[in-house]
Amino acid sequence: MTKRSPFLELDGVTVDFPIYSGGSRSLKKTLVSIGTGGRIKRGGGRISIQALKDVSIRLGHGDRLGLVGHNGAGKTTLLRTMSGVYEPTIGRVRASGRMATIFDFTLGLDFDATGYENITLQGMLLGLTRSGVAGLVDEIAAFTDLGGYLDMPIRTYSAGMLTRLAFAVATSTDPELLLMDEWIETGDADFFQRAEARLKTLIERAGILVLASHNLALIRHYCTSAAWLEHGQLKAIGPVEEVLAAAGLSVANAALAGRQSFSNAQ
Amino acid sequence: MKMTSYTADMRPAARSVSFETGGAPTTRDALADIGQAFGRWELWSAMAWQDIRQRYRGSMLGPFWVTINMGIMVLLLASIYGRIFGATQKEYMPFLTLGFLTWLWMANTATESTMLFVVANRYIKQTRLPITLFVFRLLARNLIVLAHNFVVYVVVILIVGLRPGWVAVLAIPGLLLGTICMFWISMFFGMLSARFRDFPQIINSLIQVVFYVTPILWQPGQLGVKRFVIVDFNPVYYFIEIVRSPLMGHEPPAGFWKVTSLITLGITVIVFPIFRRFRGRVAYWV
Repeated sequence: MTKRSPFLELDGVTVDFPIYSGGSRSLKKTLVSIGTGGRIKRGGGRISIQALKDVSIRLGHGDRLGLVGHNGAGKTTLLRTMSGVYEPTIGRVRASGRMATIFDFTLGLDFDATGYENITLQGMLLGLTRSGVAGLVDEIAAFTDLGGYLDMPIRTYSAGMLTRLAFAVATSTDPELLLMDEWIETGDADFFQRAEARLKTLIERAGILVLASHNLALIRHYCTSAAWLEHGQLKAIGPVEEVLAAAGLSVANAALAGRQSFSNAQ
Repeated sequence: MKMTSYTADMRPAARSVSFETGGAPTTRDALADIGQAFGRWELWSAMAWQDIRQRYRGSMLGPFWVTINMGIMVLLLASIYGRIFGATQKEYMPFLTLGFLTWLWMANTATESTMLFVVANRYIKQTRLPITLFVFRLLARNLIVLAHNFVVYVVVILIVGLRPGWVAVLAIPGLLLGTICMFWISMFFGMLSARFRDFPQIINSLIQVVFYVTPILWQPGQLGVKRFVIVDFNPVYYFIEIVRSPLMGHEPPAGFWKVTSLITLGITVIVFPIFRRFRGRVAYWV
């Protein structure tokens, strides 16, 4: 197999979310309205919200992009579109490489299953085989430092323990394309440091990073470029400081942004 | 050199992706969805078992709880309806058990299929997984339940002394055909219900009616007429019969393989284009 460098390209990507209100969610009413010809179709006949509008971004090996913008500006939608979850209404998304996404890493946790069983399940969700996960279990177990708790159902875990477990699994692979929605808040100080170190390694090894965050210090630290989104449109893209200045996200706003990041993580 | 700690180099590669989204839906993408889902059988079978465990959590018998439930039900129904229809229990009990077993399998699959994508909405919105994976999870879950219920059949034939013989293995292609058919039906119901939220209610009431008009409690021969339109045009009957007959010890009536194959083919031809066209929209609907 030839080694190809990873890429992620968006060409004029528009994402519309259909809003189904009242009758349009009902098959009966939809059929009746077709039958009676009662509904006037205008502009496709449905209301939709434009979450992304004509976004073009090209990323190649070595690109580390920070996404900034207010809540609801389209950062999460953009990340999910990049990951292939939402297929654009208009435009194209092309991606190639070994991809890992850190969006909601508690996805798929089974609270009645043990820590070990959850490691297996989550690992398989990441695309590993059962035997692939088996080779990882010791490392993950050591990192979480949960010891005997890993044999217990995770409903007995505290929130911090759950985060440890899910975080350890989510960061256990070696991606070329890493998409992150907000930095991970990991509770206690001791674990926080180890988690930071682990994330750092992950980021440094990834060819492409896309990080959406309200925390400008993180963006400044980890990203080489930034993109500013507003109302789903790409307002600016380029070197971090220039984009932050254009977005009006100067030092004065940083404190506010930091608070938003906290509430966002809840 | 002695390895003392785990390094990042030892980490397994993240999942390789190569996709292009936003173009017109293609047959290739649709087939890739099915193929990729199949390749991740470890994941969907684990999810299926997880579903079962969650459903029967706290009960000591686990999934065998349904087995017992089913056993009692069959015993009671057979004692009443066997009398009404004046049938011998040697014939009637296995007939009722098998009919009930296969009916429950298909009806539960169909009922649960309406919620198929809706309940998986977090997965669908967070990770790029082939949507077919969730259909496989549903099919696997219901086949596991069927396997548990199958115990009742084994007990029944031991009690009444029925020896189906080698013809019983024909039930395997019967189940396979039924599974393929249920695959497309589930896909269709799942997508339609994700888009139209009143569809599950429509299906649920329909399924209840189908139970009574399908030869499960009664046999077609008891109708007193040679041909009866409700039986002849009831596809569920054909699918039940290709499993029931072999396990009763005889081949399915002539033409049943042909009818079920044609129905399966027909459903595939109808649902595949819908799947191909709307596969990418499911993430927006759920």
